[in-house]
Amino acid sequence: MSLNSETAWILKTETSIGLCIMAVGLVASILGFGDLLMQVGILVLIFAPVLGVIVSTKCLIQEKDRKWSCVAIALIVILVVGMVISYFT
Amino acid sequence: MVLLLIAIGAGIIGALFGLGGGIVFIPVLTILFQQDATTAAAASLVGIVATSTGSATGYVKKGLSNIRLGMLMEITTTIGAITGAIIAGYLENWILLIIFSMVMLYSGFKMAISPEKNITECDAKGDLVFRYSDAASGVEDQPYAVKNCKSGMVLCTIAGAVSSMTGVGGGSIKVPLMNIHMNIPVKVASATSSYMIGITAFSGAIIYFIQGAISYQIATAVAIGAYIGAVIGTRISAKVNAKAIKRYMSVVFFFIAATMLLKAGGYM
Repeated sequence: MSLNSETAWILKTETSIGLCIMAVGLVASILGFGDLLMQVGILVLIFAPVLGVIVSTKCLIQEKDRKWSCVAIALIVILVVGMVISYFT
Repeated sequence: MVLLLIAIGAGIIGALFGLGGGIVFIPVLTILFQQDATTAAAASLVGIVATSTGSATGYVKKGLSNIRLGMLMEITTTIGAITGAIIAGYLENWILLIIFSMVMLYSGFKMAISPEKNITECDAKGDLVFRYSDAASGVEDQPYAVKNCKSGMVLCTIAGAVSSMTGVGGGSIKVPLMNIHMNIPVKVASATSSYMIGITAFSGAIIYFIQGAISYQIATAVAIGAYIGAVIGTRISAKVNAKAIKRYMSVVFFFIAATMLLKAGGYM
């Protein structure tokens, strides 16, 4: 699969899984135990774009596109640093 | 249930006008549901991830989203988004409402005049030359050279900060920036913006998640509704005259901006 099709596939799959878990959680919240499911669903959903970047990076490395692989890795590093900073702020 | 239906409406509007939907979620959550600006921004960002990744999937698959350029510009946008989300935690509610009103006024103005640069010529040389095809507009393997990349990246920092502080996707800033300032064809700019918005929204949303600022039920209703709305909006977009609706929508945006300013001033 190419850079575009692999990235599109992971975005679609991750978003669908996240939304399904959230929907089950929303229904379960009526019975009083949906919070954890919604929390997991939100986490799965919001990580979808990052997984997209990771898959794109893998494809660029496989294509031996050095310049754009470095750009993608730099973006992943910044995303991780951002998470660490926000955790300790 | 009411929020779910409103989110579907917001998703349709977002898909029709190329917005993330945050521009609708924030006033609805703050004015109708009486949520504070931080809770509204956090829920809105989760909804934006859903609509953005949902719509970007198709654009990425067709090759309309420029993944390479999107990742390059996301480096500075993400730095802005992280900074914005941290700053937002220390700002008073009324300041965030004023910033949002300014974004709303800008979006309304942009929607009313619809500035668009037609990219037709390209010398097809240089480091940042890409190609795109769009069957819908009869474009095949058209080259375009990205200009003003460094200044564009600096401006993306501001777009990222505004996005995470106010809970909007920032598409209303990124698309004209890429099209007019960076010489990127508007279809590519719009598709790349959709791809980027998800990453920008993640940077803000994960901070709100760690801070425990996300209301799960509100965020879930917003995300599911927005996603359904985006799917409906994408399907009906070819059948409606979006240009005519845009003018009326800009008036609605000005009205919402005025309402938010009144709320910021404590008059509501």
